[in-house]
Parts: sequence; C-alpha cells; structure tokens
Amino acid sequence: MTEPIITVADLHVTFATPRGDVPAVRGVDLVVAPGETVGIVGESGSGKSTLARAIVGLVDAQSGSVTVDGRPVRPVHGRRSRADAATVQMIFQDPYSSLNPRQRPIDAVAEAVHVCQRLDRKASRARAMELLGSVGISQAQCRMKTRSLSGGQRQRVSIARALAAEPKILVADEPTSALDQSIAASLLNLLRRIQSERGIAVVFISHDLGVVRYLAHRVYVMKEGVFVEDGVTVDVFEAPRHEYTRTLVSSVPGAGTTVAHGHAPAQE
Amino acid sequence: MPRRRAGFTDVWRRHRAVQIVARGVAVSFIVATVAFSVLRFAPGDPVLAILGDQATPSAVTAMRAKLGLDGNIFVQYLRFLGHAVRGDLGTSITSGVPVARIIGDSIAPTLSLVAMTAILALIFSVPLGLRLALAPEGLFSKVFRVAASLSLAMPGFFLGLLALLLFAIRWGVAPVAGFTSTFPGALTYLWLPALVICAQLVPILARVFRASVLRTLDEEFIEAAIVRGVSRPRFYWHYLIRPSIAPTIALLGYITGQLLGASVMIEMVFSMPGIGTRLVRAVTTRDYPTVQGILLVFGVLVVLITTLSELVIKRLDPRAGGDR
Amino acid sequence: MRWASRLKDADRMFLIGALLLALIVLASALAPILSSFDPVRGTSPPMRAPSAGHLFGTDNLGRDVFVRAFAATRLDMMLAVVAVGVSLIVGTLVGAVMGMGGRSKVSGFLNLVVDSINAFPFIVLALGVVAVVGPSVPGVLSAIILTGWARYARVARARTAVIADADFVNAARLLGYGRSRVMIRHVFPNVYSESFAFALSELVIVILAIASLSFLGAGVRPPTPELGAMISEGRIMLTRAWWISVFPGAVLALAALSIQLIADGYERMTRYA
Ligand SMILES: Nc1ncnc2c1ncn2[C@@H]1O[C@H](COP(=O)(O)OP(=O)(O)O)[C@@H](O)[C@H]1O
Ligand SMILES: [Mg+2]
Repeated sequence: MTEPIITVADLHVTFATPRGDVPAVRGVDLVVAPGETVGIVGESGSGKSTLARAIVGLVDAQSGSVTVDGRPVRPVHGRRSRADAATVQMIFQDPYSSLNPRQRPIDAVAEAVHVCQRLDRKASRARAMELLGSVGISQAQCRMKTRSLSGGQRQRVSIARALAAEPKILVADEPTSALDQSIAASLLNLLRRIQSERGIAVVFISHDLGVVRYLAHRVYVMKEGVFVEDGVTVDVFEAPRHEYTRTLVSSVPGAGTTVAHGHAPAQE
Repeated sequence: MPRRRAGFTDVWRRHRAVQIVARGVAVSFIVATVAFSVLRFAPGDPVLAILGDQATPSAVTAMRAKLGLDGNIFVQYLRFLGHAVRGDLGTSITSGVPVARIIGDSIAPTLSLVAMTAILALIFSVPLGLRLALAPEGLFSKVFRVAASLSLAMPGFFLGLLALLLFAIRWGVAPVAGFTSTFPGALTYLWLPALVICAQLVPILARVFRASVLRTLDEEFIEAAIVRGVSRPRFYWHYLIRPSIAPTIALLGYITGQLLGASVMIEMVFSMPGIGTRLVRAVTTRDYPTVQGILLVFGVLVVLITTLSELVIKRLDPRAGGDR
Repeated sequence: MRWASRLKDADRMFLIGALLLALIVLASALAPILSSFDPVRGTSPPMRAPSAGHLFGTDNLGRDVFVRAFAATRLDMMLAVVAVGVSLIVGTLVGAVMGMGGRSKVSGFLNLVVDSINAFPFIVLALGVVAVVGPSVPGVLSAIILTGWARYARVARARTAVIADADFVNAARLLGYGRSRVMIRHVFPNVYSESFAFALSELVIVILAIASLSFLGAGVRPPTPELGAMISEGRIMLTRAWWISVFPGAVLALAALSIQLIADGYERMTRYA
C-alpha cells in the first residue's frame, strides 16, 4: 500500500463556549491514500465539519495529530507557504458565504492563480478563464457580479478557485446540500471528473448516503464525534455492522441496494 | 474559536457577575484616563490659553502646578487618580471652589431632569413599541416612521427653543427659566424640558422595544398562551412586555449617555442651573479642573449604569450575555 | 406621477432626501454669489421682518438672514463631511484591526479605549476637547474627530469579526494569501460598505453636533455665519424678531432631515438588495 496522503491520529477538538466546553471531535483516526475519494457520513452535528476544518488547519486540535502530505498541518492563521496551499484546498457548504461578494468570478480565480502560481496579471486571467471554463462557467458568467450567480454556479467558481492552487487533496464539506437535486447531481459529476482526471484525493462529507455512495471509494460513518464504522463503500452500505449505520441506511430508500446516481466508483 | 483547556479562565467565565463588575472597574479607569488625557493630549496648551502667550515664565510654572500639569506625565496621572479616588477633583480656577462641591451643588437639577425624562420616556415608548410590533406594516407604523425621522433630524436645542417660545412665552403654561429642588415645585420646571428630550428619545426606545416584542412574538410559549386563552391584560404584561424588557434594559447605559448629553443642551436652553450649564460655562471660561471633573463624573455615571444594567440582565436571564 | 408610486418605500425616501439635499446645496452654493448682501457686514436696516427683498428678514445688525443662513449651511456641511470622513477612515481601520486581532493584548486594550470613549455622551467629550483647543473651526473639527472615530471603530470591529469568520476569508487563508492581502482585498471592502452606511447616518448627528457646539458658544464663533451660532444670537430677540433664530433652525432641520432620509433609504436599499 502506498504511503497515505492524510493521516489523522486520535484527534480531539473541543470548543470553549460561554455555556461550557463542547467536544466536537472525540478521538478520530483516519487515513486517505493519494488519489482516493473518502466519504464521511453522519447526521448533522456529528462533527463532520469540525473534522474537515481540522484537516485543512482552520481549527486547532486539542490533542492528536493531523499529517498531510508528510507534514503536520499548519494552522492557517500563521503564514501558509505555497506548498501548503498546493497540498490541500477546501470547498465549503454554504455557497452564499464562500465567495467574496466584492469580487467577480474571474477576479477571484485570477487572484488565486496569481498568488499560487506566481503568474503575472494577464497570464493569471487567461489561466483563470480556462479553469472557470473547465468547471462549466461561461465567459459571460465569469464577468458577472457574484451576487447574481446561483448556488450551483457559486460552488463551481469555488471549485475553480481551489483548483488554481493545483492541490493534491480537496476537502468538500457538503458542497451540494444547499443545492437542488439536479444541480447537485451535475456538481457531483464535475467532482468525479476532476478526481479522475487530476488524480487528486477527495475527502467528501455529506449527510446524504446516496451521494457518498456515488462518489466514495471508502467511507467513514461518524456519530457524536467518533467514527462508528468504516470500510469499502459497498460493504458498509450493503452489510452495515453497526446499529447506527443500519438506521442511516434503512432511512434512505434505495441507498442500501441500488446506486442512486448510476454507476458505482471503481473498486479495489 | 478553539481555546485552551479549563483552568483559571474557566472559573472566570462562569462567574459572569465577577466579570461584569471587573470590566466596569476597568472601563471606569480608562474613562478616568480619557478625562485626564483630554487636557494633556488635545492639540493646544491650556496654560498658554489661560495666560496668553505674553505670560512670564514664573506665572506659567505656577499655573502648571495649579492645573496639575507639572512633572512627568506618569506622575501627573497617578496623582490625578489618587486624588479622584478620594473624591478630590481639584479646584476651579475661576471661582476657587473645589470642583467636587461645584458638582454636588449642581447635580440635583440634572439628575431630576434625567429621572423625569426617563420615566416619561418609558411611559410613552412601551405602549408605542407594543402598538408598532402588533401591526408592523400598518398606517400607524408608517406615520411613526415619518414622525421619527422628523424628530431625529430636529436639533434638540432648536426644538427646546421653539417649545420655550410657544409654551412659556406665548401661552405662559411653563416657567421661562430656573429650577427649584422642592418636590412638587420642581415638576413645574421639569415637565417641558423633559418632554422636549422625550421627543427625540421615545422614537429610539420605541423602536428597540418593538424589535424585542417582535422577537418575543416568535417564541412558542406565546402561541401556547393564545391557545390556552390567557386573559388580555395578563397576556400583554406577562407574555409580551416582561420578556421584552431585557433588551431595553441592556441599552440603559447608552440611554443614560444620550440623556446626559441631551440635558446639557436643554439645561442651557431652559437656563437650568445643572451640571450641563456648569460644564458649558467652564468650557467657555477655560476652567480646566472643572471641565475635567465633570467629564469624569459623567463618564463614570454612564459606566456605573451600564454595569448595573448588565447585572440586572444577568439576574433576569442567566443564560444571556456570553460573548458580546 | 405614476412612476413614483411604483418605487419602493426605500427608493422614495432616498429620492426625496436627495432632492431636498440638492436644493439646499444649490441654495448654499448660489446664495452668497448671486446675492448682493454680505453675510458678515450689515448694510440693511436691522430687525426687518421677512419680505420680498429679504426672504428671511434681517438681524439686529442689518444682515440678510437668508444669505447668512445659507453661507452657514455651506460651512456646517463642509465641516461635517470632513469630520465624518476622517473619523470614518481612522475608526474603520482601527476597528478592522481590532476585529481581526481576536483575543490579542493589543486589541484587548483598544477595546477598552473604544468602549470608554463611547461611554461618554458625545457632546460632553466634544466640549472637553473644545475647552483645550478653543472655540473655533479647528476646535470643532478636532473635537468631533477625536470623539467620533471610536463609534466607527465599534461598528467596524463587530462587522470585521463576522467577516473574518466567513468562508471566503477562510478560503483566502487556505490559498496562502498573506495577511495584508486577506485584510485589504477580502475583509476591508466588506467591512467598509457597512461603515459607509453608518457614516451617512452619522452625518446627521455630526451636523447637529457642530451646530450644538456653536449654539453653546463652544464652536464656530460669530461673526462667522454658522447655524447654531445664529440661532443662539437670535435667542434673546425671540419675542421681537423670531425670524432671526427660527429660519436658521428650520434650514438646519431640513438639511439634517434630507441626509437622514438619504441614510435611511440607503441602508434599507442595501439591506434588501
Ligand atoms: N465554532 C464553534 N463553536 C462552538 N461549537 C461549535 C463550533 N463549531 C461547531 N460546534 C459544535 O460542534 C458540534 C459539531 O459540529 P459540526 O462539526 O459543524 O457538525 P456537522 O458538520 O456534522 O453538522 C456541534 O455540536 C456544534 O454545535
Ligand atoms: Mg457541517
């Protein structure tokens, strides 16, 4: 087996709030191989977003470690190097807060290209145009105000912006949960295509089992801050070992038997 | 935000009362520092302003000492704080009277005016806010919006002047000037200036109260009460007004500030012998110790009331507060 | 006017305010040029009631109240714009630094300073500054700027704390943008738009404060035409010549109202956009 590109070992994350400490992640171990898509499912509040943020360095671990591409993850509040940016990028859940309302799509992506690839202004814009085109944003939409873009279009722009860094890993935190079903499906196809064309690893988070089943090679099932089960997607969904997974699977009609969005991902 | 583990800071957080009081004390210190700094750091030299630039060096030195402006700034500061804590705010340079006494002598009219205004303002704004909340899009609300804009754009002193012209001079239903500190007699002097301040305060308060009633209306227990058929007066008081009052109390410090500021203007217009009138006279005669002392008292007063209202809110709702 | 009924409430308020303000600005630009009366030296008979020759009458020194009132409006508006502009820039910058600083020592200290300045009634602290600088144009300006910036800092601090946590800012950090790039290109522009709306509403308060200071004798001094000072001068003649105070007061109220309408309209327009 190849060296994992993400290794999370016994991770704990606790939030201090005025009403006391909230343990959001309570001892999690996770590995992701290069080029692999790993799904994380669990009900809302189970700690998925916190885990995702810990992997990219947006929250600090209270204990345990996160190693990404052979190095401990660095908190983003310090200065991140270009190498850090080229390691892991993230797609956020809420399309309405993940883009700067003061930037047009072309400017947002060109800025990322300029910073991450050290290209000059003109080359950055050309490359940004290419990237935006590859995620299905038309030339006209590139120059529209962010305010007038739909949720699906915004997520595509976010993906293009993340790709500008040419990362080895993409962490997607429920990127489709705010979208209509048909729009969500086409975004999933885009993610699949990116994953296979670029061979990047994807950590895909969702509370929607059908979606995870469609994308993920392996899945982890999360509940109350810990993983209760993990394994190859088909195994977990068709022969769940843990009680909680069983309730999850049975509550989604079809998720346990047929594949929601067509063909299943390649299996090991 | 991720934070470090439990320990001293946690005990600190849990005892919000301790935290509120400590913060009040800290802010009082900085308020005192601001009052202290105005004399020292505002552009211009107070000593030369009093004596003129022809003054002899020895006169300048003497005046510096008199104003507490001699020596190292740090020493000046400690001296100022030390005296202030003991209630010594210096001596007026125009009258030679201790500043603390000047304030003591003139605080009665100001506090009566502030209290009278606060009571009237509550009497007007609670029903008004309730009415606005129960019909947020009606004609009444539209009229209110226009009236509020008009009154907020009105210069307070000009409004006072017009009121004086009409009520006191034209119709003779209010005294033109003065104040008495005897109880019922004071009301004759207070009602008109208090109403003038209310004209500008009530729109703000009514809006705040409306907003919190609207928030209360969203809660489930309201529906439950309606379903259970609670009697009307009980419904209004118990289910609407009382739960909505906390956010208004939260603004008490701010309101006190507004009131004190407004009273400065209104005291001048109605020639009331209060602290505001004193302050203006001290400013125009460059009586620095008096200016500094009155600033300190006004600032500490606002901090005191803010701190008290935070404590009251904590009593009303132990969950409230948290991160501001 | 059919088009007027199709406008939203907010647009209509904005429009009325803008028209009113345009009229006032026009009058204050033209009055001193077109009129033959001098705003400072009196050349007409004193204390004349309003007439066709003197729309607002004349004061006790034989000066035309109309010309004086609009010369004063021009001064007050210019002072207010300068004071608000400077406090807006300084306060927003400081507030943004505070909002980004989280729980650091520097931002904790700035928090205390800002809260303490804001604890004072605005006009009271401004009076304190005037006591030192003196009742004059620079005195008024420094009084309002030194006490005003802290209110913008408070607005910007709260807004920055929200923006600094937004996902697009997190995305920028993940992309390895430097601190200053995140601040200047991503946080600041989004804080600024809200601060600007706040500044518009502050403009009303500041115009009234300038007039108030002058009314109290702690601002712009006569004979320079200034609205608050004019109202104060006419005060003792209120029963004999009401127009000397009342017209400047009305102009002041209208100017404040027009800006208030613009500010309210702008705020509601941007909120629902
Ligand atoms: N910034 C924060 N401060 C305090 N508590 C938080 C914070 N973020 C998340 N939590 C809490 O941590 C738990 C896990 O949240 P999250 O990771 O967002 O779950 P999920 O993404 O699975 O819905 C929840 O109980 C949530 O309330
Ligand atoms: Mg989540």
